[in-house]
Amino acid sequence: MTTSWNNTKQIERYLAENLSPADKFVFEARLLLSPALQNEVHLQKKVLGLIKMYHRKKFKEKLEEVHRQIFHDPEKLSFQQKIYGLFK
Amino acid sequence: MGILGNTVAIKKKQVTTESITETYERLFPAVARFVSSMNGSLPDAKDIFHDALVIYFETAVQKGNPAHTSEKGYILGIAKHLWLRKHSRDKHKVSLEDAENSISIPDDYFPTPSNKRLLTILERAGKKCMDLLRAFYFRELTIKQLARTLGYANEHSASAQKYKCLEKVKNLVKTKALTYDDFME
Repeated sequence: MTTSWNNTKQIERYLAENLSPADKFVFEARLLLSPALQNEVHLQKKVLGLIKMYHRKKFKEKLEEVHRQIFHDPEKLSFQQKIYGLFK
Repeated sequence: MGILGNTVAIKKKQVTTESITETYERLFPAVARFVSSMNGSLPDAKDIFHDALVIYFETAVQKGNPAHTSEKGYILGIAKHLWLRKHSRDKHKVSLEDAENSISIPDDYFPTPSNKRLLTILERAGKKCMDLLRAFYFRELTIKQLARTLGYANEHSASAQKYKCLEKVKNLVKTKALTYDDFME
């Protein structure tokens, strides 16, 4: 396993607040001394933010699909009418 | 709470097409009624409802209902906030109850243009990895289920793949976030 991989794992646990107090202390000390590690932490946080964005986007695509289904389902006619009625 | 601290809880609740459909039928009318009362359209109501559901599943389902109100009240509260964010001129028309005032939209909910650009690149260059990482961090799958669903021999190889993907996406972001501003956002 490479060093960068170990770093990624460690950073993940740090961001998830899953490090023991002792490990956290050591990690934060390393962080203070290493701008490169600070950049890695920042980058990984950004990546997690982007994955979250991706998740939201996918979830919204799913909701669009459910919306289409509900509004095309002949069995849900009364629901459709109730909604359409609000926007007359 | 850390950026990943929330993801454990979301794994407890399965979000399926059935559960979404059920929630949809139960709660969309209230949001539609509100949007219609603001002279909004059905597509407006749909968009706001979808955003409200995404936020609801992210916050209330994980942390418990922070506004101490019903599910319907909470979603309607988010919808009101979303509407006001877009149409601040309606401020005097929307009355927010105490419980609704305590609701907030996550700071990072509306992505910056540079993050949107980055995401487009990631979807093109690393879709498989994005799907795997999404499944791991934001869906109900544990590493064990992930291994099964994605056809890995065991948890160890699924976990190895997860870190490989994390590295890959990190490197993509590093090379694609060309400007300092992009990177610091």
